[in-house]
Amino acid sequence: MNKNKICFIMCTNNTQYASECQRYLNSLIIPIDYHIDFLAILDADSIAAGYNEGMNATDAKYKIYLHQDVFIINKNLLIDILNIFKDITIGMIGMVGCKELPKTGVMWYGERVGNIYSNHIYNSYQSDLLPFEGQYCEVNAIDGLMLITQYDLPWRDDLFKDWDYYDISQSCEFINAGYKIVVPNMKSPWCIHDDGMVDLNNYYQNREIFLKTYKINRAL
Amino acid sequence: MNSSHNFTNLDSEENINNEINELNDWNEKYGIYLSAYTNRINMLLLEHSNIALNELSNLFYDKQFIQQYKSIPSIAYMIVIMTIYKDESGDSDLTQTILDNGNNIDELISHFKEIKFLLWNIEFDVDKSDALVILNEYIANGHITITELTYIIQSTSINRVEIFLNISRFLRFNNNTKGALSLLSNANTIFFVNELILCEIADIYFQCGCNEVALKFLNMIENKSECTSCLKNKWGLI
Repeated sequence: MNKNKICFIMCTNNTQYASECQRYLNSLIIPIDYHIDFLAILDADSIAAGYNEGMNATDAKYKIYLHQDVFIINKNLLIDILNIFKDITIGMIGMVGCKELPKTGVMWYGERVGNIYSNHIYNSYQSDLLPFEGQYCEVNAIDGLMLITQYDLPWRDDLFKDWDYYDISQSCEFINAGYKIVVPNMKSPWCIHDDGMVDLNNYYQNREIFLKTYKINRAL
Repeated sequence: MNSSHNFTNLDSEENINNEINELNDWNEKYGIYLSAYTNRINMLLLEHSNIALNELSNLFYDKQFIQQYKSIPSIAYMIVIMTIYKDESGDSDLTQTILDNGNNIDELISHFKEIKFLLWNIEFDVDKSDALVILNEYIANGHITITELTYIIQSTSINRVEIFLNISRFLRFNNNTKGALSLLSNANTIFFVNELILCEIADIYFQCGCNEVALKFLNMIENKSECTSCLKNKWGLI
């Protein structure tokens, strides 16, 4: 494992998004003595399968799993996350998360922390999530738009065959393995998410799988 | 800002079941026609005759169609695109419209996203200079109209006033004063009585020697700040 390497891992099916995402990655400040790598997983069977493929294909200690429609605008992101990962009990960082996962397992029905610019085709906006004090807030689930890890745990591609719940599942895996998950205290958003409209056609089936698999430790 | 603070009352299995039922209902009643609508829209875009574009416009005037399909990404993009087209087609000076940028929905969305991405490059300073040059070229060669640019700024940018100012200044710098003024005029309609925009418009008119028009815009500003004083000072009015 290379402790001085950071790898971006992205599942993509759209070259326009992939190249735009890459443009933002190219503008990031690279910490001294660190190497940056980028893996695009094309046409993965599922996001969990794609992320497993990416995770196993790199020797980078730090991995940034991101959606193709996420553009990182905090040029200092890499330095910021390395600072947070100085605490070796922190396993994963996200941009948006829940301190307490709602009992239904639907993250947006809970109180979320974080900071993000989103575009929903008709308009762009900054999400007004719960404020908090300190460098970061410990959460028990994060949104998959961007997940940053310093330890490797397999993604549950045996359970989640679509594009939903891989993120909350991975959050549970990290917590069950004894790691903390945090959302940084971002004064302004670190990324834009061009997330369009939510497609819930497979969401509820995956929710059932999630609820059956994990006994949710809702409160931290 | 969108708030996520008040959703906790929706965190129940009863609510989830209602949502699933609504989704299934929608799929049964409307989802089954989506591919037929998509094919028809693509056919009309490809045909591109006046009759075809008229039929397309009528579809997007249909409130029921909009209501039922506005949450489908491809239709949502087309709703915005057809709103732009409606405005553009009312302007007899224009030789091109947004619909000339693609023969089907996917191509038009790709065009829309290209402009959206350029605007974010400008806003978040990622290859900003290149983005401004490209946008300026696109405007100069008619690839996009000021009307289209205005709508995409509205739907895409976070700090919209700043983006309007940024682009209009770049257009001015590249001798497209007419384009700059047109963009600022649209911005002035959206952000009525915004000092920064009114000062920018006034500055253009002062530069052109139209001092009376410039003053008319300056007089529209209700709460004048340092920005207005600076402009007056620049043109020897103080």
